[in-house]
Amino acid sequence: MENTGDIELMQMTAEGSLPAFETLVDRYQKKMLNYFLRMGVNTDGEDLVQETFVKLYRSRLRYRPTAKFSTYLYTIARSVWIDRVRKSDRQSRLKEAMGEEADTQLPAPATDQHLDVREALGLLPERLRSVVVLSVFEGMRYHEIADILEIPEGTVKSRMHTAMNQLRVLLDEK
Amino acid sequence: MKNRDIIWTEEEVAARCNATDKVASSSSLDALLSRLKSDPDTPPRDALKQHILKEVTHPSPAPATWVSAARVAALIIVSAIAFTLFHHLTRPIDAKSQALDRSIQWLIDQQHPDGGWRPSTWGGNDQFTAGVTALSLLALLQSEATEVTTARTKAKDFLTAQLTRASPDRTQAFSYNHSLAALALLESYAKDPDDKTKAVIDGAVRDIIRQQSTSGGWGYQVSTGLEYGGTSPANSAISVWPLAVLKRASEQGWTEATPMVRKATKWMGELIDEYGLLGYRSPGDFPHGPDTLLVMGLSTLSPNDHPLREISKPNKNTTSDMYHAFFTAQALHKQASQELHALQDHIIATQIKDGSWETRGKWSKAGGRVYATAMASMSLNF
Repeated sequence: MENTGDIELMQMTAEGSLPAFETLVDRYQKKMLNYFLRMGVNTDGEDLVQETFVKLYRSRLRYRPTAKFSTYLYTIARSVWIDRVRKSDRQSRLKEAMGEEADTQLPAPATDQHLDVREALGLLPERLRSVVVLSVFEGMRYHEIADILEIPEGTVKSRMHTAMNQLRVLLDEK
Repeated sequence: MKNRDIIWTEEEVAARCNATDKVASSSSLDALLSRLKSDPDTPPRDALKQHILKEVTHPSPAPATWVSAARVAALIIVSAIAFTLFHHLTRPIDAKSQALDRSIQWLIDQQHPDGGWRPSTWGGNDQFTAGVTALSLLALLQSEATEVTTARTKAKDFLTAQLTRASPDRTQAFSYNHSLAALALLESYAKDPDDKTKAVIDGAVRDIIRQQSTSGGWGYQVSTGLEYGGTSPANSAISVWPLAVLKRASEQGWTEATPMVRKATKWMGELIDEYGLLGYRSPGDFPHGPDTLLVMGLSTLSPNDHPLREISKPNKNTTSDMYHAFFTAQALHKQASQELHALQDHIIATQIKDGSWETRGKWSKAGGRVYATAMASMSLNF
């Protein structure tokens, strides 16, 4: 099972093999967790990983291997992330309406030391952070990122360019 | 020129970030990518996979429609408010004290005439009689009730006899029995010092120092072919107990224990990996997962001695394993975390009517319900 390809494992999962699904979980749970953490989730990263795999499992009969499996999985993860952001936004607006400080604010940049990587990522706008996380940390090609984010490949390219130049400045800040 | 003064082109960025492009790149861009990639991955908890598999095989029921979801939510809110009001009006003045009183009474009721507790009576293994008796005595020592005095004295005498036996059983339980008995006698001695107990502790401390490996940790004392002092490879799980004994002994004036505490602390610090997790025999070694080892490390080491990651919230299954729950409670107490109260409320909520706790978790077959009750009781005392 360890040497079986992702697509084959997903097809076996669709046919009812739980060990096949378990192998996919083993293979991707760490990557998923770090995807969410780098996207800025602090406390419930594992909950989002769980939600992603549950959605993957529920969609097993609809899965068609038209692209890489990882592209399919990250598309689900991305939708889970968006739901999470919307939920946070609603909570923030509610808190603001109640006069409380929202807890979803981005961390303020450190002033007496270099920013660490996650702080710097957190300061990027979400549209830029997504392309950096998928490209640099998940090793995806621009056309795959374009599929996941549902934007043209050229937009991925320009966002990546903007993001890297912003990161350079952020990480060079004292 | 500083990095911030450089502007990379789209092609340069694409060349390094998207392998299809063939445009030359700059070293400063490579340096940035290298720095980004140096951000370490965080490992998921071992329990995550089990949670996922459980959720797909036994999914939680979900309301079928938005309307029914709203109805269910409304019902939950109303019920919660009613329950909170009812609970607030009817709950005892101090639920924790009541839970503790009931657990101590249950423990006293289970004590045998010779002063020991037999794990097998409640689903455990009698190889761990000394260890379980020690845990029960530790729980009794935390009680201020006067009716525990006789039970404490009998338990102390039982453990004294166990530690002075000419040839103790070298089962896998020996290491736990020996360290826990020594720890219980040290706590007893702190409350009520006497020469006989001191002499027994002298011997126990000497033995534990002799059993310490050259690296600084302790292993299981199970091999009958080894001389006394021989040891299987040291591991952090077993080492927390002899280290606790030496720390407590050092605090009470057994000065020979002090350098050994330093040595053990240093060794344990070397088992911590870059993620702040404590390994079993080496960094990153988690034969049974990292969760319990982490809270054991947080309980045992001082914050200045280690780079262990803090725990923010106990995981949902903490109270199903009283061994894990005890160390989690201790770790949260050391962190001065408010989550301790939530954990203790969980523990109280799982207490059985007779005052005991069910035996679940890895050690349930060893210690049985007596062990679970003693651990739960101690967890409530932080």
